[in-house]
Amino acid sequence: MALFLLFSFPARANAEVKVSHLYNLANFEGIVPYSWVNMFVDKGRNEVYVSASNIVRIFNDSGMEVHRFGQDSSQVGVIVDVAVDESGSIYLLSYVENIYTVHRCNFRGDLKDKVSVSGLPEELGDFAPDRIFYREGNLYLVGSGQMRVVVVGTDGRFREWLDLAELIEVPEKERRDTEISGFTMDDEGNMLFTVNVLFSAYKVFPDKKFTRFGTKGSAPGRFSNISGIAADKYGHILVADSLRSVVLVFSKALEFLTEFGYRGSKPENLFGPKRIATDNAGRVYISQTRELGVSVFSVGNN
Amino acid sequence: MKVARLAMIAAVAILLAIGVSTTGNAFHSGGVAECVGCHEMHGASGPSLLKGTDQSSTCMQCHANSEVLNGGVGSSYHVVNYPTPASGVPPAEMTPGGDFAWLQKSYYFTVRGGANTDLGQTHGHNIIAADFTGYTVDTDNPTAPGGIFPSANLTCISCHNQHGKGRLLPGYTYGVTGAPIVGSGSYQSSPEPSNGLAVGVYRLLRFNETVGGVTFPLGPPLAITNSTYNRSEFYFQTRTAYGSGMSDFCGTCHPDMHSTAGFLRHPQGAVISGATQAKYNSYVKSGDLTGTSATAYLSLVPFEEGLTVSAASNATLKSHAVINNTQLGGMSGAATVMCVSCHRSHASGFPEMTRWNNEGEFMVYNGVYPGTDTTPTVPQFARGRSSVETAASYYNKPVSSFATYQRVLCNKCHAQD
Repeated sequence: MALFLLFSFPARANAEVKVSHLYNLANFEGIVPYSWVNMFVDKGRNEVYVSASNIVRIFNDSGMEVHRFGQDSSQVGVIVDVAVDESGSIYLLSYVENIYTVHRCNFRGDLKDKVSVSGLPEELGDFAPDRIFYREGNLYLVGSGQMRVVVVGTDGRFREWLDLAELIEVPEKERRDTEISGFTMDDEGNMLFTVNVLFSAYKVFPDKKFTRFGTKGSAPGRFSNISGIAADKYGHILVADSLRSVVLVFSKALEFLTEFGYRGSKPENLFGPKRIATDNAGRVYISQTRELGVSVFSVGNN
Repeated sequence: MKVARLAMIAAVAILLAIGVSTTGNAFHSGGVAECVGCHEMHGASGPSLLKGTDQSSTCMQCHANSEVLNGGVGSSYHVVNYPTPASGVPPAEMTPGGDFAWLQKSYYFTVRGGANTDLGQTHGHNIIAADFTGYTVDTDNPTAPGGIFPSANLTCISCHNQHGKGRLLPGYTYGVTGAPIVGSGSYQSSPEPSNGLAVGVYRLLRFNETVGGVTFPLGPPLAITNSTYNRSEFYFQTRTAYGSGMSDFCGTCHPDMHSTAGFLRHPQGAVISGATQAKYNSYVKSGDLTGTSATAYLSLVPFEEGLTVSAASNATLKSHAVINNTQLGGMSGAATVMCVSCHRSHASGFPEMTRWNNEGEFMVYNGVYPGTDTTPTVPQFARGRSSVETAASYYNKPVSSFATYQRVLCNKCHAQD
């Protein structure tokens, strides 16, 4: 057992959590050499969508590429994020210069129509999202730099918005230099986000109450330069720390459990982990730097 | 105990009096940041117990950014768009120093049947960061052009003192000790040195020290920028107010690139003649010399105001460091040409890290920014770039602010067009 733990946890293991490296996202040419890419997991199908250089690749639950589609930037602009609804429709968030658009595609990635966002309140006139999420008939558009979340229907009609800077009491003049470093939504409709300059992670409940966690530092369990955040099927919350090159695992009660990764040349090591996504099978997808691709781990309960 | 409490109250009162922010997001705060931000006491993998593989890799973990520039404005501490944007898509960051990601944007194009190459590594300072793909040593220049500094040693901390020891002391003298640093001295909103407290020097730049065989000037550059400086200039220009000393700073590594006199090299660090100042002030665009000194400033061709360090100079520079076009005054008095009048200090969209494309005569052609998409019949002006990339190189200034056939901006001072 001790030997098993030694290999399963490169360092600082916690007996409650079992972590092991599975593979990196790949195709028949080998590991796809991504750096710091955004990923989206279609949890209904446990497929992973990765968008880079205006090409969206889809990987199956074995981490192999099964489909890809590219979009002519003259048609949709520069794709910055992707979401998928339960019917398989794919939503592309893209930009032409400073103007954003949401396009809807079929399951093959063929363009179907444009989701015209309408009815935004006046104070959101300069809203510029860089992330998109789908949940229960709504699209969540996240402006990381502006620290705002706008919810629209799949028809584009405005539903509500949330000012996360105001919620966590960031002074207006510091909004731009504070910004959201990582954002996701868990299966219960909670918003999870990190703010690296505040060395803090936040969980915002559907009633807009929130809790903050994290302590700055370089010891295990501490935040140095955090970014991606995700929740897994066990309720763990995972936070990527690119400077310490680890992914920290917290319990649902936000207690630090363990961390894994660390710089190194072994498959289970990580260099500058940035984004995290999880599927329904206990797999965690982690993008990193150095064109090392997306590492896939199994994180589960013992 | 009572004395200690009084001292604490006094210290807090002083901090409040000079308006120091107490929020947690000013990591460097004009001086040395918290040690464990960059160093790992137990288990570091880089030299000097760094958390990154090397110096620049450590810096870039925070200063690189993979997001888009939201609403045309980005966080001020992002200086590298990473991963490098796809072909045809420009790097997002628009700080006055420029986005290092331009180093990764190489262009291959054909002009009159001949193949041409515009390598990214010519676009800026090739900082070495092993954790970030592509940030490797300059393969063209073994040493800094015009100097001896080894390219193989170039990192962020070649120019910036990572520990931020330099400080502007009360009394407006520079030192590396003498008073504690209360905060950054780089911004229009920065406190002034007073009450026994110093402020950090501009951008933590090095001075009065020898690094890698080169010795920096006795004093750092004097400059002030607006705290919201990473932004598109589509609507308003970003004015960084330069006082003096920038060329001497650059000359530390590039001593033979230019000179203050002579005919064979463009002067730098020299007061601009009255005749040239008049051209700068009257130049609006190609063929239009109807401008006035009140509105002559162009952020693509900045200049030093010839001010040396003092309380009055700081006040003047702070009043000029705006982002709302209310301070567009042109050259006067001791206005000085500097290296960054023509170059960006990190990187630009063009060879030799110039602020405009010097490789062709037109920077605007037929009313549009040159691009493979907009001006395919005259590829010598786009040089492989998309029009969006060209526009971003000019920080998205509206093309209508230039002439329909705008010549390069050497003409801002020389008015030959």
